[in-house]
Amino acid sequence: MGLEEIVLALLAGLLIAEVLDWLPLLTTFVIQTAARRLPEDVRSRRREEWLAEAEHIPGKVSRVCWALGLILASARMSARDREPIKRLSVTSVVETDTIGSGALAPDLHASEVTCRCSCGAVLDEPERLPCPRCGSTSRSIHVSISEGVVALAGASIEARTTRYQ
Amino acid sequence: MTDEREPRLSFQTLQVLQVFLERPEHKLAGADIRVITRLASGTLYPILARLEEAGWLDSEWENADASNAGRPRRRYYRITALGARRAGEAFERMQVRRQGLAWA
Repeated sequence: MGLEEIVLALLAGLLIAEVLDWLPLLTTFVIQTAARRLPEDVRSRRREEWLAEAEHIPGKVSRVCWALGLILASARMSARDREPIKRLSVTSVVETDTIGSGALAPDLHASEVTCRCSCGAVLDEPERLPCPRCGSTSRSIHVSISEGVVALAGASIEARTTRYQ
Repeated sequence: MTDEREPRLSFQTLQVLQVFLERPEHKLAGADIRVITRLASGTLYPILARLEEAGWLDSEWENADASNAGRPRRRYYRITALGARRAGEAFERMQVRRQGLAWA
């Protein structure tokens, strides 16, 4: 074995020892990153729980692998918290003078169609015809939209300044 | 805190529940459950969180003061009466289905 090989083996050994010494810090960093992705009310609890659990995982490399799994765990736990918490519905009235169909987008459905003039008759007509009560072809179309609301734990604001005015 | 949402009873969830049903008086930490079930951390902790939210599991910190022990506190889980009943019913239903399949 030559001098170069001895030096290389020594350097490789030192490098491996260095990497292994950094692994506990990496584990802690990964655990804290995973905990940060959770809602604020459970964050500190999970961080402490997982840091305690990490001490019971044998092997430094296994511990890092286990901690990396927590990133997936926190993503799954956060996803569950992002399920819609409330359903909102909005009702709007579209007023139109258009004769015939086509006043609404194809994916919107009118819940009720009334004559737009003062008679206010509720009409059930497949195609626009003069109102049987007053003869008007103007209509008020009542449209209802319903959607789930998702509440997130954090909000961010981006601002820009104009330097050269 | 309990949640009205019923936990989804996947194979892995049933594995976790079985661990608790076999040791109803024991308090188990996540690491203990991981050793028995061999579930990955990415699977185990979401299951524990779901079962706890549903009120099937209860958890508490270990008694040791973290500052005195010089380490973070462990969190111990235990099955609740509701969890034991629901899990028992789920296993019974599975048993009936399995027997039904065997006779078919």
